[in-house]
Amino acid sequence: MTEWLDECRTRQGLYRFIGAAFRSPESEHLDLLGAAIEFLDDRDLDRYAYSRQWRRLVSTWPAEGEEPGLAVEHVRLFASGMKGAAAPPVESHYRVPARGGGVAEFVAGLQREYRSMGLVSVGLAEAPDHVSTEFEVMSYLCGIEAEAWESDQGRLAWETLGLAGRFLDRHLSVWIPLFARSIGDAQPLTFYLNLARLAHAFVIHDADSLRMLRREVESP
Amino acid sequence: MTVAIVVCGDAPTIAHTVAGATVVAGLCADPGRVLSDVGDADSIVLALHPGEFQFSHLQRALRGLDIDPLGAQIIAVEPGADADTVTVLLHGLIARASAYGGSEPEHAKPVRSRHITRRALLRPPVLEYMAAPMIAPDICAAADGCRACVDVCPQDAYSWHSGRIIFDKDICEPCGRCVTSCPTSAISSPAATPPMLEAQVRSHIARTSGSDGIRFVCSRGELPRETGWIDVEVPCTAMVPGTWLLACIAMGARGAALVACVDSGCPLGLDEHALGAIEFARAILTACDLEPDMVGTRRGTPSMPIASLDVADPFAVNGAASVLLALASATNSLLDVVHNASPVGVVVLDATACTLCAQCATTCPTDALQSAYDGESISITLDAAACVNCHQCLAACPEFKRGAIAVEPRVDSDLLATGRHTLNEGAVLMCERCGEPIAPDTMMTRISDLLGDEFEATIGILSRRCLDCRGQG
Repeated sequence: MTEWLDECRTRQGLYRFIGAAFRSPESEHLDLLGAAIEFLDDRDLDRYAYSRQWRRLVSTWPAEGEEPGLAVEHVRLFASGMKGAAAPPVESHYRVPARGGGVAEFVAGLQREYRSMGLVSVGLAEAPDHVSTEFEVMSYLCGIEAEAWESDQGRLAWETLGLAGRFLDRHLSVWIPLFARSIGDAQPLTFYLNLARLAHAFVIHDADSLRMLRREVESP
Repeated sequence: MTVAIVVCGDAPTIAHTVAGATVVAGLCADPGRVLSDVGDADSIVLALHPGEFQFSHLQRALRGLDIDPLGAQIIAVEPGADADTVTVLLHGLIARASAYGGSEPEHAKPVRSRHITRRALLRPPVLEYMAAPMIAPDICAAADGCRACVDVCPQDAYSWHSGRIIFDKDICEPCGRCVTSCPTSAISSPAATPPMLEAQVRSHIARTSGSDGIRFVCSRGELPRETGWIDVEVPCTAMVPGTWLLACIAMGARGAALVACVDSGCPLGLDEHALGAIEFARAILTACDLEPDMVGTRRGTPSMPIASLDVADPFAVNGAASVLLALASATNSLLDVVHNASPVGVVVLDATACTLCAQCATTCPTDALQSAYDGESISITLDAAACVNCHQCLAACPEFKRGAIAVEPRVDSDLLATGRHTLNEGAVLMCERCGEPIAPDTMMTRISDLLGDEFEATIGILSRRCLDCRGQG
């Protein structure tokens, strides 16, 4: 697998996979993700710097019967309680002070960005700045780009790549490292530690790669 | 740390001299073959043939083994290379790999070997990764005003904004200058950390019993090996301060060299820094009554090594003073050397211009400068051994233009050994109402001078009342 188009599809799959893995660990949900591992494992991920983190996550993928423990850990890490979540999974927590209306302004700004990409948040299970939502947005952009390459629409593909790169630079590559560190500090179960490390490594790698491409490749 | 040693099959004689080395035929052509031979190693040293392997494919194979490619040490073995020398080099790399501290995702910088067109996107080559610097924000002193990395970066990859350092990895051509210039060691690059280089140098010296010199060479260049010298690769020789060369001598090496890209010209334009480090080291050797030619750009006049000295963390940013003091003590010398490339400095305050505002102490990233208030007076003190000559105090001083502060690039062994001493002190004005300190007397005098007689009444209030009590009756 050497074609960029395939890389787009791989990135699309990984964004969707990681974003979904941060959702509540219901057994059916984990089964679906487990099936996706096989697909992603076939993509020669050892070519990329994040492959070691990928391998570690796969090696600690929860076995049947581990869901209840994971569910408790998911609540402790990501859902609010009396003392708040150990590692809130929303960008605004890491980017703006909790008081003073900054969060609402920040999230509204993010929604405007989504609308500019042609996305409208209707019936979202999570907040617009939730890790799963933002990863899903990136997955969507990778899908659009891949389709554009497939239908020989170079300009659209290039523009979408630029859009994804800017979204990464403005959002995910800024807060995911902080989010991952919060998870690590909370001494989580190995699964969530490895998931956080993969999310961190993948986002940084993708942001670096897209910047390199935008710099080096001749635009149409 | 478990280190695997794998030798490409065509050089089995080398493998026999290194315990535990594995020989893999055709390794250069197909690095995936190492998969079955390294067990559960954390790090790896590879002896390969120059020009016969692709780095990107090698990195891919290592990731498949769960080995961090940025920590892999590679020695290119020329056909007919002297087996003894290669063995010493291999042991040095094993020591270096053993001291590898791991990497963060931010440390990996993807690069492509050639400029690509949009059409070439349809068949992109396998990415290669090089080690790039990363800032640890919790250690970085930018919030106090430090911008040492901004000052030294030849690519302008660093900038300072509102108390934060912004690093542009895309611009960075990793040279390591920021790593060895950061006063708080907040910047790391996993390919050549001070502990890794120290381990390698110590191994080389132990293996050769000090019979050879240590030569720092740029990893960008392809320098032929020279008899009598053991090479230590660094991202750029401009990252090597003069005290590293002296540390090699202090640890028992026969000589130390820094092969700057003098002949071809440093692609980053940093030749002068390397030459400055050499000149500084030679000046110190001269002051110690040692042969200055022990340090140079090429092999100099061989000298007998001095006894191996016990120097802690000789390559750490704050280890320079201990190297200098060890040499001075061993040779019974008093050092007083001024050189622009000195990695230690001496801060001087002019009491007639300094207002004791203590901005210098607040900014000082190594706490070499400190301020202390004892209830009546304030003092600014200096621990010269902790000063790394970064000049951040100069930028912070509001009275710099009046000559209140200067940093001399001086090695003064007396001062280094003295420890903390007072540079300036003065009385503090007390609030007549609450008794809390208002400001140093000298600062109020300066404000009075600036405002002039016209504001005499205002000055009177400022001098008698603290901020909280000025509005009170």
